[in-house]
Amino acid sequence: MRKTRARAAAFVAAVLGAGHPGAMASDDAALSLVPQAADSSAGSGPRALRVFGELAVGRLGQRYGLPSEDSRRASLDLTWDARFAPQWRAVLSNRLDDIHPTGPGGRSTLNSVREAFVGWQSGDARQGVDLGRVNVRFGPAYGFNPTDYFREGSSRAVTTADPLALRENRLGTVMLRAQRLWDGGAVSVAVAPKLKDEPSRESFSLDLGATNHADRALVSVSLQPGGTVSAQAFAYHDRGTGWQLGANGTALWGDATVAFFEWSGGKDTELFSATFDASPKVSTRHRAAAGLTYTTPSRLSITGELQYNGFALDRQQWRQAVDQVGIEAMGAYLYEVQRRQDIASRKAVMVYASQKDAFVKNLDVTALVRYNTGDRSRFVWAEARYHFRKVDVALQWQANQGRASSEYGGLVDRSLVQVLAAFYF
Amino acid sequence: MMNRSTFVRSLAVLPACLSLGASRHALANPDPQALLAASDAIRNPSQPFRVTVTLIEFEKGQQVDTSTLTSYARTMEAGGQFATLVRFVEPARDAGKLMLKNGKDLWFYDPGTKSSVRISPQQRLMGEASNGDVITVSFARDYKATHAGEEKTTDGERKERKAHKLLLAAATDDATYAAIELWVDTENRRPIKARFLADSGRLLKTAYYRRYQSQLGAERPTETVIIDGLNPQQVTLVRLSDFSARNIPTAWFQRDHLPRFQGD
Repeated sequence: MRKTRARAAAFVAAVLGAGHPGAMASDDAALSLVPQAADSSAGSGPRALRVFGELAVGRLGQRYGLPSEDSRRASLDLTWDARFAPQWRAVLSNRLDDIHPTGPGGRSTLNSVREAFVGWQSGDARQGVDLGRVNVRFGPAYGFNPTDYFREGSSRAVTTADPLALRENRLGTVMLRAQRLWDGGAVSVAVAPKLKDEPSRESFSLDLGATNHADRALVSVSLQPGGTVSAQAFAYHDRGTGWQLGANGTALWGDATVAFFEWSGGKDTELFSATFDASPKVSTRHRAAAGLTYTTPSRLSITGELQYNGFALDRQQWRQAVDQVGIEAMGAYLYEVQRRQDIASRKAVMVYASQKDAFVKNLDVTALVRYNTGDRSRFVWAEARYHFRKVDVALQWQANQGRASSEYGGLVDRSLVQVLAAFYF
Repeated sequence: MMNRSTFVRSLAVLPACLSLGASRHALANPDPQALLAASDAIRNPSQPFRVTVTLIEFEKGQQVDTSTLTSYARTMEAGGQFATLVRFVEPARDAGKLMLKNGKDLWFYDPGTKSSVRISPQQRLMGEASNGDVITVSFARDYKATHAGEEKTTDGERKERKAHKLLLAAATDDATYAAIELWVDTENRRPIKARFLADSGRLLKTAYYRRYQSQLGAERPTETVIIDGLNPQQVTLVRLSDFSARNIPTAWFQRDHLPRFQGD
């Protein structure tokens, strides 16, 4: 009703010619503008090869009396996606990172073969099959994706704290995947066999143990019940742990707000047990995330996200664990959480904000806060990134804050400031 | 901002305005909805098609950004609204990213992150240009047209034209704008310019349709000059080139197909 009335008012304004005076002079100037560049219709076809490189240097602040350290990283990112027959495609996606300093037992140089697969699809695009290492990703949440079932072990090199950018580094899983689409929905089946027992830290390993450490299968059904609502349902099986069911959904609310949720429940390994026990304990629990993204007319997008992980430690269990193994040993728990792309606390909150064209054209400012509601520690990250035509230059700052016995306050890394340049070819 | 009493008074005036317009022009003018549909048919090819879109942004008379997209558009059923799939081509950092518009559904897909993200109409992906500026839209489907008379207006080439002035009121939930003023050439029904209004009645943007060329069986505008309503110093040229008819499957316009999309 309110919208109808407002739209009627707009129509009345149009009838009455409101706001028109003075427009013509500026219109005339606009119509006289002549572009510097000629029409760039040449080369507008699909590019089979996409390449970019990154260089970053920074200063890492540490706790426990350890001195500050210089940090540096060089990365080369390549994706080749080509059609070799009318209904066939081949994809190869690879990233090479050289990172200093490295973590304990880590390699400075890590090559990630993210994708290598062959795909076929029918002429009407309603059926498709892929075979090889495929990056299959589900889940609309920003910071924690319970329905992203192939996320475990997928980040071989952690090069950024930005959850959106981090996904660019993830490894695909070797699988056979088939998909069928119909009007308003789709179903897909993915079968991923066990190929190796353990992940590898070798520089140029395919690291099949990271992504194919168990026989797994996923069935997903997508539905679009209305133009502003979408939903997906999942049945996932891991031969080692058992079944999980899941669902996610998105909804458009007005012109500026998108709501989303994810839920997954079933059998999985408890994270603390997975870190410290020889035979990790499998339980039946839930994971969930829900949030909103609101965008202002000035291109500021703010996302608030609530996160729940039944397989992680709650506040009381965290305290007991710190007493039991010590805060330093809890680093292994946090590493296991990161490897599984999980969250370490039972409940957490994330706020993600991004302002496009902040202050000046082509300057994007992004910030995020991850907040552990149990121990009130937090991770803060901010970036100012300027886009030149072929180069991005960014200044990033991040900090782990909280009490010494907390998730973020107990980490060795206290803060990082770095400058980054990304080159797009 | 219009308060309630102003709003009510305006509604009272509205029928008078419309009947005055109608009595002067009823005999001389065709059905406004038919005029609108004819104007749409000039802007948009009826068959599924592919076109290259070049966005050139100006601020205070200076060119500040350029980007290139490939757009695939088709109607999903007879007489239905267009669905549009846009692939980013330039700048290189955005190459391969996709934007899908199908009804109210708006998705952004990044091949780097493999994620399909629902976005709101207010989330602009292409600088100052709104997402709606680069998608194909049938006004006749989403707006109710009223004839507001004939008048002389200046076209995009700064020539004077005799035009039908149409007032478009949003008639479906899919309509992006609350109201549009559209000037259609009396000689050939070509769209000349349009003014897009927000719910509040504020001018959001003015668009001039120009550089008519023969494309896919008709003389169509190949450039739209979009002038920001709040800051007229912000101007975007939307240039269309390389029109070609394509057999585009409807499955391309589903979110689940985005990871498989390769285009042609």
